[in-house]
Amino acid sequence: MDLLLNRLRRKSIVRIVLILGISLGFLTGCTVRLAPQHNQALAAGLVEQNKAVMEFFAFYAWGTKAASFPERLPEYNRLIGNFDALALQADARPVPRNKIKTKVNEALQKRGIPVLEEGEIPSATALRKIYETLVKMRDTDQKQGLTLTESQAFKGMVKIYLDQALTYENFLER
Amino acid sequence: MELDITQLMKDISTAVSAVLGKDVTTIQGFRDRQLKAIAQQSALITAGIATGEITEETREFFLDSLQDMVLNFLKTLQGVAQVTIEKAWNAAVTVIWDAIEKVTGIRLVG
Repeated sequence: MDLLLNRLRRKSIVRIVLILGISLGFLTGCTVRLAPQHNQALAAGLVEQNKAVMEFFAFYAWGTKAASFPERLPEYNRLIGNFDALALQADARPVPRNKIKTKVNEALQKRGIPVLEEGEIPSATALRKIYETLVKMRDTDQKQGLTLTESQAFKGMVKIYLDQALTYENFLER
Repeated sequence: MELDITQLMKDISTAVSAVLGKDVTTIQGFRDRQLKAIAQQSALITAGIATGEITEETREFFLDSLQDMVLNFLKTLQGVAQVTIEKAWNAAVTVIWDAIEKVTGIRLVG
């Protein structure tokens, strides 16, 4: 894993830019766009829902009982609806396609980095996974309640995916 | 007036390094956070299965999710690398075009 990640280091990126610059010619075009546009409303929504979902997890950190599920249902549904909407918003942006992007993907693939599927946006995938996690959590809570470990594991999953979504969206603000 | 190749190379290097310096630090921070969090999550799920605290109802879901998390972590890394390459490319192109404009006096449309 470390070997793979080391391939993204500075020298590697400089090499990719130089090789592409020479092979395609720096003057073949103007500036390029390889990733979707930054969306300020989406970024703000992400920050807001990050806070809301972490507050929710803090409240039920010790697990839950199915008997008290109806008290939590409105909050579950609110969070699920909000993350579903954010995933849609993230996915709705056009993803640029051009010759330089194809070459960049080939160069990254040669270095063992998994290539995104055509049109795939990693933050949208992360947000969809958060939505699915919250749906599973809600359904389990309703059926049998949550143990302390299950509650922590659901929180852990959401945190990891939120970090992926936030990091990618922050990068798009260039 | 001729294009000063040595100065141009120096200017490209400075422009690209300015982009990479900040981004590489951010990427490394993200990588370290994710690796630690995924390792902790794996340990939590393993212990939970062993003690029965992860129930039949959620066991498969959590096990599948570990693979999905790692895959999207790597895809996010690729996504941020693309953005960094885009910025480095654009910085280099801007420097080259500025240099050509200075020498030729012709405004190049970017």
